[in-house]
Amino acid sequence: MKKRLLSLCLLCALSAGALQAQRAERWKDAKADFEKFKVERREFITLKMNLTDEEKTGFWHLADEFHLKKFELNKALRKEIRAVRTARKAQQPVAEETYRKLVELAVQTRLKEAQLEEEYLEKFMKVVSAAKVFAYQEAERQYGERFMEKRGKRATRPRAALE
Amino acid sequence: MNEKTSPLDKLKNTNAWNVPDGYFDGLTTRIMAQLPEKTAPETAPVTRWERVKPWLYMAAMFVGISLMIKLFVRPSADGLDRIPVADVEAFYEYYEDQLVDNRYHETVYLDDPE
Repeated sequence: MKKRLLSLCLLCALSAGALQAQRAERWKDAKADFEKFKVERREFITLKMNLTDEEKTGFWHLADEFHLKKFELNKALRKEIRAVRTARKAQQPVAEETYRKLVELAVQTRLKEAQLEEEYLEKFMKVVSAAKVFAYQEAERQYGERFMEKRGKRATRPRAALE
Repeated sequence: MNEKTSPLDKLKNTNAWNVPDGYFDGLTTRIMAQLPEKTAPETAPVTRWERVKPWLYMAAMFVGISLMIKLFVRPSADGLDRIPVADVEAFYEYYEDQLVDNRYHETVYLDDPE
């Protein structure tokens, strides 16, 4: 009995270990992919903006901080959209109240994003010239289009929020 | 007048308590002889598990400590490095939506042919 129990525990531990190893491998690939994305984006935009070495550090610190904050702002909205999308796919009814909250949240998020963008544009213009900030916005768009093409998506697709 | 003499007065300054002759001679031997035989305790055989147990417990302790450190002490990350691997796909979606939602990209920006 003891031997059987020990064998079962060992089997469970080995399976868990194998699953963990697979998961770690997938995460390793995802991490490597993300590192590549960060490096490529930074190189592309730095080149387009023609940043000097002095400008690079200050500017990229702000640019990354801006995207991080915007991403965090967006999270709540994404979560709600995902929940509604899942319910619709499962053909479950979605309450009117849920839609109302979602629509209001979307508007509030957009307003906060716009305020954040305004705040950070001011900060950017303290580090680089306004012409370079304009170049940044253009470069970010161009890199985004390339990125979407790589992922097999079109840049002018309608927002797939509630497909 | 004759003082009444108490029989106890005769015993004054005499020690009524005495040890029998030769009492302490060989006392230790007599006591030891009366004690039961001392048997050596049975030593149980040490199993492999008993030998491995302390090392295993120590290894588990170190693994636990390293996990706690990993959990509570995060290396200071900068910029987009702060995004955990689990959120990377969500970040890509956000990045794409920023591009799609940018209402200016078709009208304000003049496309530079690359």
